[in-house]
Amino acid sequence: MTIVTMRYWAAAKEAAGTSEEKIYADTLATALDVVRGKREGDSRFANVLARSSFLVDSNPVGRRAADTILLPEGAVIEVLPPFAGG
Amino acid sequence: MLGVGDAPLSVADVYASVADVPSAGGIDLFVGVVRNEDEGRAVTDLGYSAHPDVMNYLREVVEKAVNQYPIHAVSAVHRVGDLKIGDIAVIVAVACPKRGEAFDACRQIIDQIKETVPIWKRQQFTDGDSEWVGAEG
Repeated sequence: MTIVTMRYWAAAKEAAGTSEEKIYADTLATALDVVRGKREGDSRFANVLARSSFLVDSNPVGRRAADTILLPEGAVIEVLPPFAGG
Repeated sequence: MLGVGDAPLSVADVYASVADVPSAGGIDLFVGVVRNEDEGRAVTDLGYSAHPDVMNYLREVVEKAVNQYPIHAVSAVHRVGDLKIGDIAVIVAVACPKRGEAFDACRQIIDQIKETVPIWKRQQFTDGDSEWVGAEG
């Protein structure tokens, strides 16, 4: 397990109650499990997370499965809720 | 002209930025404005915020259109911060040789801004409630 940073934006920041937190995880899937687990029963956070897209060290994860995304030491995972520009 | 910022947007400035192109015979201008309701609920005001890398995403959308259409000049600007009903949130302007391609390119750019550019919108309703648009379902 490596230490990584979760960074939350907009609705995700509000639902998470913080803009950033450090956690232990080695894939994106475990990172998401960890942050959900820290807020067990918080359906608002879980809903926003389920609708969000992710950047790992500024690179979009896209549609790749979260358990295939390996996190290097010190990785920054950004949680981007659905965009609503225009 | 490409930009994301909190200053009020000017249709005249954006138009001027694409108008001085002798080879362009059609200029299409899309102006997105804050409206007073969303799905039947009255909205009082809106707050837009953006990811720090927002310009890279905006540039990507515009470059994609430039590679697909005969665009001779293009501008796309989006406002962030607190906006009121009637304020301009976004302007896209495209100058092409002919109108069809100008319409198509402009539409693609505004559609892709909505889909792929990391900008978020929080709306405040008259009943005191507020929500992040699209984020919670």
